[in-house]
Amino acid sequence: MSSIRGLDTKGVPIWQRTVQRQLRNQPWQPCAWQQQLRRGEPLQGITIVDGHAHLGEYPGFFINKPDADSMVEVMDRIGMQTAVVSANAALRSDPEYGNQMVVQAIKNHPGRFLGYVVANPHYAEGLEASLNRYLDEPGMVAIKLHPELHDDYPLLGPRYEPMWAVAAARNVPVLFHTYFGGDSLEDIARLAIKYPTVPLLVGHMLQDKSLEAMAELANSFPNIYVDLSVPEIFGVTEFFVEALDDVSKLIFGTDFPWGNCHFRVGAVIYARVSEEIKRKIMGGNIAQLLRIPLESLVESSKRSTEGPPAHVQTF
Amino acid sequence: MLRFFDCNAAIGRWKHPRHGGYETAEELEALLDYLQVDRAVVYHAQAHETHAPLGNTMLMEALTGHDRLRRERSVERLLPSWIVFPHFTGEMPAPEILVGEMLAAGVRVARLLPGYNGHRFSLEPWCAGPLLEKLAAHRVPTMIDFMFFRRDDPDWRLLYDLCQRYPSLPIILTGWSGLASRSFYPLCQACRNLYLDTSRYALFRGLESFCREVGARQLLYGSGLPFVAAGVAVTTITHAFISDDEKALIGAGNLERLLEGVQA
Repeated sequence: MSSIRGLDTKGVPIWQRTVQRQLRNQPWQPCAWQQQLRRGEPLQGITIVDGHAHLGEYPGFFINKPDADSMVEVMDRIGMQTAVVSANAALRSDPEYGNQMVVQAIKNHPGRFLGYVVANPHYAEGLEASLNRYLDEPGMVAIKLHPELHDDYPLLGPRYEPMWAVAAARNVPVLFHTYFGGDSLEDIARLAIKYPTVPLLVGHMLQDKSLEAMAELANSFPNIYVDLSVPEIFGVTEFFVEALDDVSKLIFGTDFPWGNCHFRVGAVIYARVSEEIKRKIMGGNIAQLLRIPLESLVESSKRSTEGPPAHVQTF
Repeated sequence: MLRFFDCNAAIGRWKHPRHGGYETAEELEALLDYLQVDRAVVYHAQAHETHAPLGNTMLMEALTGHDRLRRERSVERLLPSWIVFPHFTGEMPAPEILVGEMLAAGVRVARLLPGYNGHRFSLEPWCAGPLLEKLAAHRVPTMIDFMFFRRDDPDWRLLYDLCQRYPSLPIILTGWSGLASRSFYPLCQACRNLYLDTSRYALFRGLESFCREVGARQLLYGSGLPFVAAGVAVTTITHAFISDDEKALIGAGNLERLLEGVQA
């Protein structure tokens, strides 16, 4: 029995996999990374790739220095290698201006940023050409949708069809924001069926709908992934590790600079899951999804610190 | 190593437990050990979700005999905090009795949940006035939990009036994300008795800008346990681009100063 209408889930129900008492009784075991954080040091020996980040100013509230240079400074402070970013300007106002900001940030900071191109459904005409142009840019690896900021435009609406066509043709992941008033669980399942070759990153792990439904969706559809961008909910990292058939579907994100990435890195590093799983969640899984070797990110950023980049790295 | 004194943790059984969430004082102590947090101010789930007087009694029973540091070093590790509300329905003793009982029991932090999803009372003088006056007279740090949805902001006029009306009352706004800095910074500048618990303060470089514009003296480390994941609020402070002195104030110093200021 599923919590999603029309979805026939197999196997042990999520609530029986995630045994509250079992985790509660599990001791809190310090690890080297947790100790590094507690001492205020950057993390060493783990590659962190933030799969859900932003860039630039946002009108609705004050963000202290949300430019690319400042973000890199903060990433270095915590030991984050790379952030996959979409521009707030592209989400909230001018998609062209914002998407260009991302291209520029990738050029200026090789290996430190990868990009989402934002698709605004209110510019449906020309969207296909625009998306293809941006996705041809080095480091632009996926598409970002924000139905809430785009006037509640539904994911299955016709204005998004050119975007889905591009995503399907290029097999690029699509990260979409979810929220309390947004697309239904059933519509997300329909998307997964309609576009089986497009990896779908379900934004904010469906926190406003149901975490159990999120796990059911990810277990039912090979192309649905969990965007763990609200890991500060107590026990949520452990919940998804237990609930998911395949932990490689758990993609770390911090939403910074909307929020504080240190806050969210702390949530996963202090969680009661193994070091091997932390390594996957914090970077390994998204590298696999984007087909980017983690080592290449580290190498390209090292080169960028040795002098001005002659060429942008292609991934 | 930076010291932490948590202003915002709970024990007890909740309607909707977080996955793997603890319930007892012993379990909380184990988690504090893991986080390397020295001490915590604690309230009880039943005081929040069932009835404040009942939960406050359960809190005192739960903490008795379970405070390891108190036994070993004569220092309270888990400090009780009572959830209170105005007395007009007869559920709570009159403020002078209530605050006297609190202080006699070693309770030096009060917690109010005035909102619709809390205990549903007004903070205006005709309702909460007598209680707030008595708490202010004894300088009891008073946490106000509006139980915000993550995008909500406080009623600025109400907060400003409260701070101005009771200048000796340390008012600690808790559980707020801090998104509305454009209003919050001037409010904190105008009201030096207003503090923010950092448990959900997740702004990018937010501690840095708050310390620059307002000062570190109005921030208190809070964990938000057992709702906020372990390590979240600690990491925000350990990795902020602020001075060690500022971190020390936020981590423990400010709360210690407020508790020392309580007048029995």
